[in-house]
Amino acid sequence: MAKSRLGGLQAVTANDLRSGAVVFMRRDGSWTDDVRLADAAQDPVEVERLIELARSGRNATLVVDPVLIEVAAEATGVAPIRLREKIRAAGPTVTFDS
Amino acid sequence: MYRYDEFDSAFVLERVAEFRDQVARRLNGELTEDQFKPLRLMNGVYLQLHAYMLRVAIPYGVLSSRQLRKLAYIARRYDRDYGHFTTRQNIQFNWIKLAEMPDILAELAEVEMHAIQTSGNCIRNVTADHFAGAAADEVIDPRPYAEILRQWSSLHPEFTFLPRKFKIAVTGSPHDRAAIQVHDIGLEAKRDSAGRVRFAVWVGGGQGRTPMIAKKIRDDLPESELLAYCEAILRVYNLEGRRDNKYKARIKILVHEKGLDDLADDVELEFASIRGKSLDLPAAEIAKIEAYFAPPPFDELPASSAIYDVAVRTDPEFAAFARQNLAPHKINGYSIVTISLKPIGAPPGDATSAQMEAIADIAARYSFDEIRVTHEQNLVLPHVRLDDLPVVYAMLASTGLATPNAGLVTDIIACPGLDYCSLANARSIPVAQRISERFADSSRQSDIGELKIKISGCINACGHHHVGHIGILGVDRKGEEFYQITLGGSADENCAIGEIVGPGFSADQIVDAIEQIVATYLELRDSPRERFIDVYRRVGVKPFQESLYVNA
Repeated sequence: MAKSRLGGLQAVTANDLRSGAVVFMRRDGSWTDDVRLADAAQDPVEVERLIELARSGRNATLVVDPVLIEVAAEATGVAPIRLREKIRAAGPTVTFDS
Repeated sequence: MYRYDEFDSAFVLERVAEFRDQVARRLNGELTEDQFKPLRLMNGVYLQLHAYMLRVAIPYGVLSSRQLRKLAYIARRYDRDYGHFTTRQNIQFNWIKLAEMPDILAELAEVEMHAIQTSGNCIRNVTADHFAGAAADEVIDPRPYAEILRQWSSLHPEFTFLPRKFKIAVTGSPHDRAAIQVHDIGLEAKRDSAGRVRFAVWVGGGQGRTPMIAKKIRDDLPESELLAYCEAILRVYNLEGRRDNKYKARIKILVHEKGLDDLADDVELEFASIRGKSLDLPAAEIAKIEAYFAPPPFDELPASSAIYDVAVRTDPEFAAFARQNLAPHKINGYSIVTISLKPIGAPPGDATSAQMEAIADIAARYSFDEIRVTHEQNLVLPHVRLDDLPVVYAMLASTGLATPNAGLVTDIIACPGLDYCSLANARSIPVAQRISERFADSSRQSDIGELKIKISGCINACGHHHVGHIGILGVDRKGEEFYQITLGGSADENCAIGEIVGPGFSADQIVDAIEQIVATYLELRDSPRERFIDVYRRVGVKPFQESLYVNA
């Protein structure tokens, strides 16, 4: 896997192996479905540590395809930047009630 | 309709057991994701943005009530109470848990369904005219041939690892409702002067990033040689199709690079070596399959119905539905009903569990237990008595399924797009929803007339934008969604790839741009009988460009 080329503040996201749900990693290697609670890093060494942790050990039976995404630090916590990641974090933008 | 024989049942049940074991081994860590991914894809299990997606094959778009009820049950029990009908006559469930997949496949097996060959570089689920066996203009029912092709291509060991996926479509009508010219192989069943079944064989059509219209490689293929000839095409493709570049791996590129004549020579050579042997279709075997698709016990009825006529005269809403959503049936006193899955402002192709159950009930009582799925993401009741149409309409209306817009501007095809799909660059469904709302007025829609808008959220073109009268392609421009418009595409027997009209539009501008194109059409048409596509063919792209970019 290529190292991060994103620059800036980054967090790790993946899909939960059993349910497929979108999850985000915390510094201790645990996973949350709330992007605001993800832990992000900017320092390249720390970013590398996060993604290595996501890909190691028991995570192989917990999550699928962990990757780094660009995030911003907002008052409420970490927030994704790209539209794709915003949709992953918040769910489809489709309206069902018409 | 076709019922599984012992071979079908055995292989489907074996596959369920095999996949159950594979899922267990993935969950306990014996299989890595790299090892497991190709196995799950062989069973129709994709990982999308938010969840696993299960794509279930609906062979040639034909469902029984029992099968549709099972799909409704799966949507309710294992998903979020809805399913999504696709442009390949399949259904997708968007929110399935991996651990529950084996149970779902076992449920599907109970009603003779599976998810095999809905992914991967194999021969995919064979599609066909959704009005098969019912349409007034039909020459030959394509379903028996689609079923024969299904049996031949299912788990075909030689064609499990083709250079790329391979899609076959079959029609038996001169008016092509199955889009055969944008398939890897398109087949038109017809009769020769002696009344014998012959196939026109088209090869190398497809959409995606390099759209191509298929070329006719044979016009007179005898019925008995259908499989041998298809096998010959597949063998040549399997050997000569490119494997170095996935974007050049479809057979359309081989046809384009090699030329039709050279390809036809190679196919004929291969064909010569296999024809007249085990792949020859014996007449008795064809008859056996045809018997599964024998016409239901139609009543002998007059061509018109007083009940129907009165309803048309007295109920304007029914009249609007009848005008738009009915198609002529081959049997007197019957009609084909299109159930629009495009209510104003709703996601195209979605149906709730309750709606699926309602349709299953209606089909059981009023349409000989049959439902069809169209590649335009609607459902069809193929055989409804004219006398029964008012009551069928009322039942559909009571569950939100009587939108009278089949073939109109709000009957939009849209891929799942960036709301669900991990390949997408832009959203499709919300654009469809906004266009639908803009054109919600039913009399305005009916004034505009036939107009096919098709939207894809990426260049893979699952939303068939290349063949939309108006095509919309979502792209990512520096992190923002942009939409490129093509005009003049067509998926029928006058197949055409749409032409790019000019620079793209932002998500904020796209609906206005579509409205401007429609306004231009209304100004240009000679009469309300001249459809959008007719005007486009008469005047070309220029007047549309001029009106669209006048202030640019």
